[in-house]
Amino acid sequence: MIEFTFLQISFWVSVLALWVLAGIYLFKKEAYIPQINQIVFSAIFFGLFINLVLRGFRLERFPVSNLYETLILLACFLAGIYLILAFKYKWHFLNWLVNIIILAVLLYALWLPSAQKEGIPLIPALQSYWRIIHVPPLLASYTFFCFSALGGLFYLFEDFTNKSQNKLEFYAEIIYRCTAFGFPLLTFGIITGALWANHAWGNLWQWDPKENLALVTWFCYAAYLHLKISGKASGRVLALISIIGLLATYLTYIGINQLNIGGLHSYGKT
Amino acid sequence: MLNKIFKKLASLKLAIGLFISLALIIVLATCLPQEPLIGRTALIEKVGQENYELLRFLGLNDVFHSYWYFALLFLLGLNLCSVSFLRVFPRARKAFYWPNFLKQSHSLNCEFCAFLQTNQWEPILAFCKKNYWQIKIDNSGNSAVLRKGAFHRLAASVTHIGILTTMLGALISLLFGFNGIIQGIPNERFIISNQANSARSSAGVQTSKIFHAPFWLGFSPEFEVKLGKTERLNYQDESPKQWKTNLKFFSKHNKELAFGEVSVNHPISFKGIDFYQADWKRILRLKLNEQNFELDLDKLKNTNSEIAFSPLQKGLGLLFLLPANSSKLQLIAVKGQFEPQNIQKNLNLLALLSPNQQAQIGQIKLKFIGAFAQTGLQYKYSPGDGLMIIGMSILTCGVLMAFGSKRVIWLIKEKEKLFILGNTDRSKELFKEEFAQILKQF
Repeated sequence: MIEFTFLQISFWVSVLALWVLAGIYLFKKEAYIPQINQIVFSAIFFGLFINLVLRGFRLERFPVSNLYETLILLACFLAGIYLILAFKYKWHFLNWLVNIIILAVLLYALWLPSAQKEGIPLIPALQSYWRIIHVPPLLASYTFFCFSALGGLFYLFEDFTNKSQNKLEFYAEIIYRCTAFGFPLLTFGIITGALWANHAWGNLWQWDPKENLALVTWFCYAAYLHLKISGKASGRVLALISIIGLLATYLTYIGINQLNIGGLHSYGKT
Repeated sequence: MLNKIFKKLASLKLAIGLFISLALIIVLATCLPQEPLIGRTALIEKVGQENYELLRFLGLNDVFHSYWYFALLFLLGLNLCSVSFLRVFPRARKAFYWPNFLKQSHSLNCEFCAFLQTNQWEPILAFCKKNYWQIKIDNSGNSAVLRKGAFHRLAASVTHIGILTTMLGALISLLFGFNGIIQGIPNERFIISNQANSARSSAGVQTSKIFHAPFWLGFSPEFEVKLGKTERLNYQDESPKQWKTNLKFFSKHNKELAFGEVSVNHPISFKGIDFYQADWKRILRLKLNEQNFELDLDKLKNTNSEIAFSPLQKGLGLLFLLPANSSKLQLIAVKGQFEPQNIQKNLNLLALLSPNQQAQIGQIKLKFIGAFAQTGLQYKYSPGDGLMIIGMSILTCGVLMAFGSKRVIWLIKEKEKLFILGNTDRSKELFKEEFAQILKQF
């Protein structure tokens, strides 16, 4: 199927980019990084975007119904949002890490059972317009939290090594800006999820494992924002919260199915 | 004294402590098997009777309905109310206060500071006005304050109003709302009632008992629900595509009031009560020694026949086979381990029953009533839902508003020099760029 050709293009561009970026850093040709970033992440983004569009046409539905589809959309968001952030805020130095994450996401998606890749029919509960409203904002928020945690990692690394105040402030700014972008999206995603649950099952909140962990993630980032705005926590603590937040995000999104905890969202793993 | 308590309740430390505690408890409750999700028997099987008693004593068998979890949520609610009324809302009034005019000496303590020639006064004001800065100039004409994004300071208030509104909606639903389940076959009638057996039970109307909070202030509805045609739509591969049920609503005097169709993701509402298609299955209805009982029917793989299995004792069970295109039920004794794929082995046909026919098997008198499509409907009355949805919308707006920052620029003309000072409440890097952008113009 032609949709998989575009997925393969994105995948191989990402693999190739690893070597290109390694060469650039090795031979100290950093001046080319903005152009390389633009080419690499645009190619990955458009490849995945076309893949999703073609898949949508083939299955005659918005393709966010199983883990495979959401992973492809997540990789698409990672490439697209990074492209905008790198262009607007000059966060070019994150390129190799973002590329590795995209590659890991794509490898995981490709490793999933073939039934998911081919697309199984939707169960009755998933046949709703709420799917389009609920899923993409959550995946976009996960993307921002991923960048926020990368900022947190750089912050902690800098804090334990050089302690350059300028760099620390810069990394703290990355954490804050990404969290400030991601938190409203997460809130919106959780609320629309509650409204969908109310529409489908007659309950806004059922203490389902996935709902629980989404709430834990929300608490993490709410704590971060409260501490950041009040100025009552050190940069190190805030960086640590951003990393814990990503861990909670990972558990919410994938961990819940990997640990086989079950619940109302367990269709995500098949 | 009361003031002191409220101040303690409004502390950020308490809020962060509660966030962390609730997060840890939720993780624990997600990892531990919970009774409402898997059932008491399965939980006892999993952890053993002794450990189950311990879990139950600690409230860990059903964390989300335990008294201490409610206490923590209540404390979070109190913290939220206290902080909203003591700190957040009073601060909202100050969001649009104009900052004071500054003097040149203040520039010594200012992080964002630069100076230009005084003839840049007019162009810089014009440039900022064009870029949506609000401007206030003092009477002497030598000092000006410019601000942008003041409404972002309202974010905390808006968010807290959203959460409080949602909580109020939830409280109203808790006090006056109820929910329940109707499971039945076509033509069965139900009354939704707070009593286990209503007065109309004798007229063949079944009672669906409602669930509600212990301190409930609501009323049971006065109408009856009659189940109509119910069906399952399939995809080509036989997996379920949709489940549908027709409903009719009657008054207590048997007058038809309304009708409608409910399906998954398409609930219907009658007199404020919402009905949801929650479940659908095929069942066998039987009478065993004059006692009614039901068994779930499953499709036999690669056929249109349906089967149900009921274990009697170790190594012996009863298999009910309903062949495709036949209404006659085959009652089969199964010895040894029952495996649906080996249905031809170890089977002993005991009886062949038509609907409403009865058979005597040893000491068991068994009557086959019929095979039916059974629909499972969830219903709820939640008068606080509207308020909760409004609260959630406000909450989302508040969180979105928090995204930006309030920025202030001071212009001071002093001794042929024009001092430019700047400040922001958050996002310093972004403001640094904005400040540099303004200076770059001149």
